[in-house]
Amino acid sequence: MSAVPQARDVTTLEVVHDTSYRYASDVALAHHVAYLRPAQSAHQQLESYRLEIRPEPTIERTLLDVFGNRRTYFTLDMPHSKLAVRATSRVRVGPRFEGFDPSTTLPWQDVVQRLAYRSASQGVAKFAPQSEYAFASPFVPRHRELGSYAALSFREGRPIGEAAIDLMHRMFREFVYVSDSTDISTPVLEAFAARRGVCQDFAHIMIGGLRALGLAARYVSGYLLTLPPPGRPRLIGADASHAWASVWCPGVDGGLVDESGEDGLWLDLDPTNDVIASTSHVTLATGRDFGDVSPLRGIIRGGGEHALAVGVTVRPVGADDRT
Amino acid sequence: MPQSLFQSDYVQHASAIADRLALPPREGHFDELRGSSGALRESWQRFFELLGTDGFADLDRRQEVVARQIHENGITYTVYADEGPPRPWSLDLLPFIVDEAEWRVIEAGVAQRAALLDAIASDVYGPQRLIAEGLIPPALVHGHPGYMRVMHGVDVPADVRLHIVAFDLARGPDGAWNVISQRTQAPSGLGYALENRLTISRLFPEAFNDLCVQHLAASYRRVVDMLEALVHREGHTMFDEPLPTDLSESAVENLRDSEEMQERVPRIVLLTPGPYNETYFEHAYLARYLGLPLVEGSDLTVRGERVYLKTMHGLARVHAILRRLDDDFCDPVELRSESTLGVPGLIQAIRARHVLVANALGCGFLESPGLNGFLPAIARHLTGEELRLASLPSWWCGESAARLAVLSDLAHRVIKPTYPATATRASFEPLIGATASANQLDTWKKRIEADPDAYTVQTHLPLSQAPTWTGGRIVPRAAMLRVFAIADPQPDGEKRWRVLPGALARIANRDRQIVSMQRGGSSLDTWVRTEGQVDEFSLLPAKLQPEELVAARTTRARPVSSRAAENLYWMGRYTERAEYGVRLTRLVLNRLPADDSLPSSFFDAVHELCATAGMVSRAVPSPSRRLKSAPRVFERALLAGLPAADGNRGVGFALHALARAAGQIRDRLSSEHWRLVSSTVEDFNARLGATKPDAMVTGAVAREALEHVGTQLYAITGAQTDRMTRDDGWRLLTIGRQIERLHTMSNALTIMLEHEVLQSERERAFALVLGLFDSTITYRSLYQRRQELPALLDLLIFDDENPRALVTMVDVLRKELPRLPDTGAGPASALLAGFPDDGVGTTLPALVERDDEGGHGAALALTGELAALARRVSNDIALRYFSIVGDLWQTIAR
Repeated sequence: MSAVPQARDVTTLEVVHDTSYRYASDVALAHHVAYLRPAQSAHQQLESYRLEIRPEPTIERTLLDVFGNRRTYFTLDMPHSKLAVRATSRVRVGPRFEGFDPSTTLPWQDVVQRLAYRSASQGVAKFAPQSEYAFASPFVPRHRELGSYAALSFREGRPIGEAAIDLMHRMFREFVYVSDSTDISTPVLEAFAARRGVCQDFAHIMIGGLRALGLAARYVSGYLLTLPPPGRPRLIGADASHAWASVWCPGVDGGLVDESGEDGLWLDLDPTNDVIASTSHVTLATGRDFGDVSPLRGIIRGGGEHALAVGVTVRPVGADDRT
Repeated sequence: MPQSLFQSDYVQHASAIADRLALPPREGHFDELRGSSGALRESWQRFFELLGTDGFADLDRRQEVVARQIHENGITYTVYADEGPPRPWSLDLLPFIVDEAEWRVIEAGVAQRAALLDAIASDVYGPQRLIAEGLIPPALVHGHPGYMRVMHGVDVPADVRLHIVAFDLARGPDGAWNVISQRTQAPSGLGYALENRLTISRLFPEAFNDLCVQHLAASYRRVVDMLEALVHREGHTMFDEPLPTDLSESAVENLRDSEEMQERVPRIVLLTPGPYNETYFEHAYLARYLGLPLVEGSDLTVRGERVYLKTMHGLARVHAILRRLDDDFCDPVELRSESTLGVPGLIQAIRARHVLVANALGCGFLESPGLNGFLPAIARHLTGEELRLASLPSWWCGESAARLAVLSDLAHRVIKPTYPATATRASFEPLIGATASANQLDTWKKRIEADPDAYTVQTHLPLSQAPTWTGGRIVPRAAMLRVFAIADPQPDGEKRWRVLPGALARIANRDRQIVSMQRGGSSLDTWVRTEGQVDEFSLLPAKLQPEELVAARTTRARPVSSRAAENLYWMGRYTERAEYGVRLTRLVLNRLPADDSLPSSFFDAVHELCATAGMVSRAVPSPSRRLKSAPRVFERALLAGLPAADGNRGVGFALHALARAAGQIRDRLSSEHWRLVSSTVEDFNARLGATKPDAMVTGAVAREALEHVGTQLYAITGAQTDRMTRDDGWRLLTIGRQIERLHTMSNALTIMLEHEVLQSERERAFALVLGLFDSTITYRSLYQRRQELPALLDLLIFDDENPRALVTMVDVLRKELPRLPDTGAGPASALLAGFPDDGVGTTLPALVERDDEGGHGAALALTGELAALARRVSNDIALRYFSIVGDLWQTIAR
C-alpha cells in the first residue's frame, strides 16, 4: 500500500463549495436538486451548514432521500440569467478505519451467499438490506468485463476486505487520472477500456466490478482536503468535488459492526488516490451511483448556452479560527 | 301450428349452418364455440339462432361494415404521422362471449389481484416488510428499473396507487382462466374496447339484447368520478388557491370544510406522450369520451409545487392527471433526464399532495412476470386468502431452486424477460421453447445461468380458440382477454376494485401462437352476459346541435390549451390555404395557352401567383416564354406539385398540414369532422395516385381531384363554422382563416397590379382575379360585362357587403381580435396596433384621386400594407398565445 495519509486526530474542516451558471439568455423556469449537505455519522459531525442560492428560489425544500441523504429541491420561476449556489459547512472528521484488519473480514464468496435471496419458505437466512447495492444501476450497468477485471483480485476464499483493497491498488496502478477526460455522459465501459478517466469513473468501475461478483458496493460523493498536512502529498481531485467507492465487508463471526450498529462495515476505498478514506475525506452523500447523489443538477427552460464554474475549498480550521 | 313449426325449422337451420361451417380447433386447445359434447355452447347456439339464415348470408357484408367503420372513424393503432400511413385497428366480426357464471370467477379473481398488487406497492413504497420477510426477492424490487426510489415514502391520496389496472387472461385446455401478465403503469385498451363495442353491438342488435350483454358506459364514468372523489377527499392541499400563504391554521381548517371548497370541480387532464405514440388514437378517443382535456407534457408546467395547464387564458390549475405516459418519462428532474415528454417538477408536486397522478408513479415493477410465482404466498401472508385466479405457472430464475427445476425442460416452456429494456439494459423478445432447436436452447440455458435474475420461465399454455368469421367460414383463433379493474375506494377507507364488465379480446394471427396487436393480431368485442339488469347508462353524446353548442359555452367552459390554440389557428390558416390553392390551380389549368400563343404579361402574373403560393418552383420557366414547350412544362410542374411530395408546398402540402393540425386536437373534433378531414387527404392522394411512385398526373385527373377536394373543403369550412364549440379556440381558428385570406388575397392583388394586366389584358385578368376572390357572380350582377379597374377595386377592397373583400377581412379581425383573452400580457386589443382606424384606412375616391391611373399605384401600396399587417398580427398572436418559443428544456448537471 502506498503512503496513506491517515491523520490520527479529529480534524475540523471547513468546506466551501461554489457552483455558478451563466446563461446566454434568460432561463424562464428552473428546477434543481442539490446534494450539498455533508452527511452526519459517528465519524463525521456536521457543526454548521449553510446553503445560499442566488437568486432567491421560489420554493426550497429539504427532505431525506431513500438512502438517508439530505436532498434539497429548489425552483426559480422568475427569469434569471445566472445562478449561484454556495454551500458552506463545518465538519468534524474523526478516524474511521483505525485498526481495521482486512484479514478479519469474511471470505468474499460467503458475502455473496449472505447477499443472495432465499425465499421465505427456505426460512432461516436473514435479509441483508445491503443487497440493494448489489444490483445494477443506471450509471453502473451490469458488465461482465468489469467483473472479469475485478475477479483477478478475488481468489477463492480471500477475505473480502483484502481482495477489495487489492483491487484498489491494481486500479491505481493501471488507470490514469486525466482531468476532464470524461463527462457524466461517458459510459463506464468507455473509461474502463481507455483505462483513464476521473474519480467518478474510477468509483463506477470499481463498483461495477464488485457488483458483477455479487457483492454490494455503493458510491460516495464527497470532498478531499485541499492542502494536505505538512509532508504529505496533495491528493488528486482536491479542488473539486470528489467521489469514491464503498464495499460492504461483514466480519468473521459478526466481528465487524457498522457505525450504525448494522452487521458488517462499509469500507470506503478511494481508487483515485489508492487510499482508504481518512480524515482527509468528507462524505456528502451515498447512493448507488453518481445519478443518485450528483451535487447539483437541474432542468431549465430557455437559457441557451451556459457557462459553468465550480470551486471547492476544504481547509482545516485551527483552534484559533473557531468562534 | 305450421307457422311456429316453420320458424323452428328456420332457426334450427341457422345454428346447423354454423356447426357445419365451423372448423375444429387445434388439438389440445379449449374450444370457445363447442362444448365437450361437440354441440355449440348455449350462448353461441342462441347467437346463431338470433342471427338466422338471412343474417348468416349477410356476415360478409357486415364484416365489410366493420372495416369501413374503422377506416371512417380513423381508428388506428399507429398514428397520423408523416412517416408511413397509419395502421388501421383490426377488429373481427364475431364477439367473444363470456357467460355470467364464468365472469363471476374472473371478476372476483381480478378484483382480488388488483387489491393485492396495490397492497404490495403500498408496502414497497413504505416499510418494505415483504422484502424483509423474504416474500418478495429484492431483485424484483430494488433490482427492477420500475421501482422508483424518489417515490419511496411519498404518500398518495387514499393510499391508492393502482387506479386502473389491466390483466391479460387466457384459458387453458382444462377451461380454467389463468392470469398471464398485468399492466400497472398506464394500461392501454379501454378506448379500443369501447370502440369495439360500439361497432359490433350495432351489427348484432337482437343477439346483443337477447343475451343480456353488460353495458360498459357506467364503468367509464366511474373512472372520472373516482378521480374527482379522491381529489375532493384530499381537500385543502388540492384547492389551496388563491389562499395567501400566511393564513393561520384555523383559517385553513375553516376553508377546508367550507362548502365552496367542496363544490369546486377538479380539473382532470389526460396526459399523452403525443401523436407519435402507437395508441394515440385511444388517448384522443378517451379524452373526448370522458370529457377531459388531452394534454402533452409540454402543455403542463409546475409552479410553486402545483401543476398548471398552459391555456390561452393563462395558467389553469390541474388537480388530477390520468396518464398514458410511462413512469420513466414523467419527470425529467427526478427520473430520466433525457426525456422531453414529461413534466419537470411533477414529483415534487406529488410530494406536496397538490396533484393526483393515476396510476401513481413507480408501479412498473409490478408488471414483472417474475413476481407471479410469489403472489400466492403474499396473498396468504397479507390477507389469509388463496388467489381465486391462478397465475400461469412461472419460475423466476433468480431463485436457484426454481431455476434448477426448469432449466432442463426449456423445450416445453416460454422464456420471458424479468425486466423491461432500459437505456442501459437490453431486453429480449419472449422465446417459446417449442420453436427453438436443441442448440438454441442450450445457448439460452447458458445465458440464463450467466444472469439468472433477468429471466423468468413460464409454462407454455395452449390458448383457447375463439370463433372468428374468415373467408366464409368460422375459423378458431387463439384468444386472450385484457380485463380492467378500476379502483373504487370507499369513504370509510376500505379499498375496493370494480371490474369493467367487458374486455379487450385479442386474437392471434391464424398461424401464430403469440397474441399481439403489434404482430398482426386482431381483436374482438367481449360480451359479458348477465342474468340481472343491464346497465343502460350512456356517456355517448348525441350529435351536436347548434343550440347545444351555445349551451356548452355557458356551462363548464373547457380550457383551451396553448397547444390546442396553436393547432386551431393553423387549422384555420391551412384550410384557407388549401382552398386558395384549389381555386388558383383550377383557374390556371383552364387558362393555360396553347403551345403557340404569344408571350404575355398575364402568364407572367400567373407564374408569379403560382410561385408565391409555393405551387411551382420559381425555377420553372413562365408559360409566356417564347419557347414552344413552355406552357406544357409549366402545366406539368403545376400538376407534379399537387401531391404532398418533398419540397412541394402546394395543395397536397396544405391538406397534410391541415390534417396534422387536426390530428393534434382530435379530442376537440367530432368524429364526423375528423373523418371529413382525413378522407379529404386520402381521396386527394388516391385520385392523384400519390401513393404510387412516379405516377404522372394528367390534367383531366387533376381537374377531377381538385373539384372533389373543393367540395370537401367546402364541407370542412361548414363544419368549422357551425359545428364547433364557439370558445376562444374556435375564435382563433376564425382569425387564422381571416389572416391567411387577408395575406393571400392582398398578395394576389399586388401581383396582378404589379404586372399591370388588369388594364392590358382585361378579359382574362378580370376573370382570374374575380375567380380567386370568389366574387365573379357578385361582380357580374353589379357591373355585367364592364371591366373597369375602379369597379373591380371597389368590390374586392372596399365593399363591406362582399364577404371576400379585403375590408371585410380587416373588419372581422378588428371585431374578433379584442375578444381574445388576456393572458397576463395585457388586453388583446393591443393586437389591433397598426390597424387602420376604420375600414382599410382609405376610400376608393381617395385612392383614385391619388394618381391618374385609376388608383393603380395607390392600390398597390395599400395591398402591400395589408399583407404586412396580416404577417404582423400573425406573429403577435403566436407570441401571445402559443408557448412553443423558449419552451425547450435542457438538463444541466455536475
